[in-house]
Amino acid sequence: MSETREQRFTRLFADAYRPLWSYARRRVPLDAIDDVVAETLTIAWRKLDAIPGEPATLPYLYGVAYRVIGNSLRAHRRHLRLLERVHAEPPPAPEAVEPNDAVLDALATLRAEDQEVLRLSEWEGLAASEIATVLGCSANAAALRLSRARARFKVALTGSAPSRTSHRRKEIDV
Amino acid sequence: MSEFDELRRLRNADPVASASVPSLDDDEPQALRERILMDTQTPTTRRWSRTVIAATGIASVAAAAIAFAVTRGDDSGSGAPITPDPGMAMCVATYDLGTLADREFAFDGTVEAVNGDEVTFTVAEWFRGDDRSSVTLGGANMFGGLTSVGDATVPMEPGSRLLVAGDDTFAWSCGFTQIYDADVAATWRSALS
Repeated sequence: MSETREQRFTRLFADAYRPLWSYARRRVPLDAIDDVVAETLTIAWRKLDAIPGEPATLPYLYGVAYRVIGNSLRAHRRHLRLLERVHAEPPPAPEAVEPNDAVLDALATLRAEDQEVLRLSEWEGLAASEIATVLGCSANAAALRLSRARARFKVALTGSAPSRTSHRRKEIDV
Repeated sequence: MSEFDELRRLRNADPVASASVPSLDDDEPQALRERILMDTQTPTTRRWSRTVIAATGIASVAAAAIAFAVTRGDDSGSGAPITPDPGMAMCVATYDLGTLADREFAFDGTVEAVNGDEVTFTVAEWFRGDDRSSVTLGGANMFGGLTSVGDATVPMEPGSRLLVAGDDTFAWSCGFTQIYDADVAATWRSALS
């Protein structure tokens, strides 16, 4: 017997809710997590037929959440600019996601794109091909971005550049 | 310190490592699933409608509710105009300069091609969002799929010059996409700067 939409979504929800909650937890303030997860899964319900099957389902949903969060951050920045104009004083400091330490501070100094590929790789545990699904780029582009992001993170954290030769991978000169 | 030590430290700094991830059996996930399953704004094969969740009181969460529907003139991708079905369209977000200012992108562009679910514009001027000379909105692999259209007086056909505003990969209807007017364009330019 074929699966109904509701059954399929219920199964997707069970598989994806906790990973999406974790994804949001790593990127937005605590009081925004539930909204990000809710919006992502609502989009998933409405676009259920377009969602790829396993193992691409979760990277696809991460991509939805990535764009949901991006939209939220842009709106938040516009709101802050509006506050500045209205009140002519500095806006309140944004809520910190985590207590700062050297690692998170170093990560925060990187460009947003570098931060995201590093989080996807080291926290979500995605391979380059899966990162490509999230970001909407080719697997080669994702691999290159990840390589560069790792190098920049090393510099940010230690102040020293990685060695140009590595037994793990070959540096690509572009 | 090897280059892998930095990555190990990064992994150890994962915020979720010390967080309490909700169980699926908790009240919040259960309630969320039920709310979503009650959502009736699901797409159909020929006539689309889309609603984005309304913004909450939290400033960091962005969305404005909007619904629109499009009835395609034909499926051949020949460039036949896409005209809306007024009976299906509902403007949950009211167009004004304030809501316009919340949009991620806006431009003065001319419809170059209509191909299935995608509309390609040649952009004369970006008021916000990008700097490409051409942009395609909608598409089978993009979230939501189909672009919106405006009211019944805004045909989406090659050669139409429009003012287009929206979020992500979607042009919004209900005034956010409208026939080009120089005075309105000047107002948009000011509101979106």
